[in-house]
Amino acid sequence: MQDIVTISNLTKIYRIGKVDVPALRGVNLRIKRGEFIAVMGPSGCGKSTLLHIMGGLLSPTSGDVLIEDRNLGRCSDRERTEIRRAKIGFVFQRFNLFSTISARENLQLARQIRGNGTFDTHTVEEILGILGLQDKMDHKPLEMSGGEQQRVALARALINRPALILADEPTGNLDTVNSQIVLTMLRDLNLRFNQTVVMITHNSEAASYAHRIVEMRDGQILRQPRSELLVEHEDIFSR
Amino acid sequence: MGLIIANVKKRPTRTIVSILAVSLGVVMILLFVGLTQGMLKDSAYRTQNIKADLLFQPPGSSLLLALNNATMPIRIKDKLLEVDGIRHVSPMLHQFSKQSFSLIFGIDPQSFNQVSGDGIIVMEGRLFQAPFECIVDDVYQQSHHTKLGDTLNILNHTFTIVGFFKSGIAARILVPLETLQDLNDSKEKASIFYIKCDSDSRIEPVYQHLLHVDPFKGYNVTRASDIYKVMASNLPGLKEFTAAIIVSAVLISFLVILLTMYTTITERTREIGILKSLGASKGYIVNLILKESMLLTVVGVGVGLVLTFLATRVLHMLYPSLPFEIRLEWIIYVAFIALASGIFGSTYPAYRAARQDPVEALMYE
Repeated sequence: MQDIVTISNLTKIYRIGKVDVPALRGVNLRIKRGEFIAVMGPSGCGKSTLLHIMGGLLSPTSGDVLIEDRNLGRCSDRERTEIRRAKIGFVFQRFNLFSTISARENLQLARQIRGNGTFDTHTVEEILGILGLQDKMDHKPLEMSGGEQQRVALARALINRPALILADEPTGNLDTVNSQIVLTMLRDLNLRFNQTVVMITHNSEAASYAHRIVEMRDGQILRQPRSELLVEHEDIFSR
Repeated sequence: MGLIIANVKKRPTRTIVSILAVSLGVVMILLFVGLTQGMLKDSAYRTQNIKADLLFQPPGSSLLLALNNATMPIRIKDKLLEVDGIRHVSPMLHQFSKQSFSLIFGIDPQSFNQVSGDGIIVMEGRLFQAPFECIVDDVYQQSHHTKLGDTLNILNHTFTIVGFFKSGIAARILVPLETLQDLNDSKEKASIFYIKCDSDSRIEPVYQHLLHVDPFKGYNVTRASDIYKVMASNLPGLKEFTAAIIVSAVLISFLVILLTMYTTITERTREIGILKSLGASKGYIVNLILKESMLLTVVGVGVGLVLTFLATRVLHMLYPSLPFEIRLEWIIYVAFIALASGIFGSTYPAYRAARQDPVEALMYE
């Protein structure tokens, strides 16, 4: 399978006052199209920084981050915004929906920012169907449960069919039942639409939904065990 | 648009205050300009309706009679009548009444009617015949609910209303010239001479003669056709005061929109981070903030227009003789400057929002 993300010698150093604080120290990572990976590690190990750089929200200090054929490390702010808009969908721990507008309007906003005409109504209906949101579309986020809000956030991330979904602790604010629902949906959507998912989590149970687990510590990747799911997944696509 | 409307509805008090601030500016400008323009036009209209060809005034005096007390000897009338081309001359002395907030003209009915042609049309009652009699126009009559035989206090003297004349000419209250001269300590004096020429073709030569030939040189002479223009240009400080009102109104709108949008974007820092994570460009965010401020400003202009309309109705009920003229061009002008102040007021907050670091914005509590 073709790599969708290729990270080479990635470093990120934050300057806090007069002190340089390294967050990433030469990270190398390759992620294949359609892969679902979980990034684990203790707080402050650089997981979120890595995710934000992959999403074009942060620029690296050095190194290369290729999303398909575009190197984020050499892009301007405007170009990174374009890549983010076209290729990336975010899911956050705190859902980050606009509370003043309905679920439908939250999705429409994502469509509007992306620009119309890049997806069809059938896809939208399919996504809403998988997420079980058809009867919740006119509710405002605060009228929904945490699980429902996270499903809307998932729908928003998916609605423009981005190649890469970046999920930052998507189950961090959910109970066990809702966590399982959201993770199952994330995996189903990954399989159904072949969208690459990179998920940050502290939870090993959540990580078990991924094809591959990447462990980080002190700004570096420790190991990348290959999960059985990835083997299955590759098998499905090879067939 | 859904997000913009939702944002505006989220903080109703702040939204209402912003809208009212913009509308206050609109009301301030339109009421002030409407009142000054209305008074000027009304005054010019009533002066023009006297149908004199030329107005002759003391040196340094103004056509805005409420603002000057300059007088000149009444014997100048005889000198004027000697000028070739002048047929009739009518003297007038005026007095501003603080009680009725209007001008009182002392006139000589005979010469006034000679100049005016139609003269004063008495609709009810008669012209004054005794020294302490007066006539008032129908607007004054309706606004003060007066009837024949009622009295008026002018310069601490009681005048009896003996007639009502058709409005739109001279002043709202007319009294005998000699009486006003006596009361005003201006015996044998006049404020203006209304001049009627032999024919229209004689107006310009007479005008030039009065401007340049002694003993009239130095006096103020105005063609009837120039009255409004001269009045508008003679009103001291009008342009400056109008400019001050406009600047104040613009500043109020600008500062309130600036403050509103600034607090809005601070409050919505996290939302701006979300927009950025969705791929919103800086232009998109600037556009969103500007559209929101435009919405507030447009509603503010609309509310301002409604409030101006209501205010003129109330003022008209309280002071029926107060003339207002709110022209479409001023409404457009005011709407334009309100929108401009809204745009400028939201430019900095919009720029600041667009420049926010997306990661910091997403972590904002």
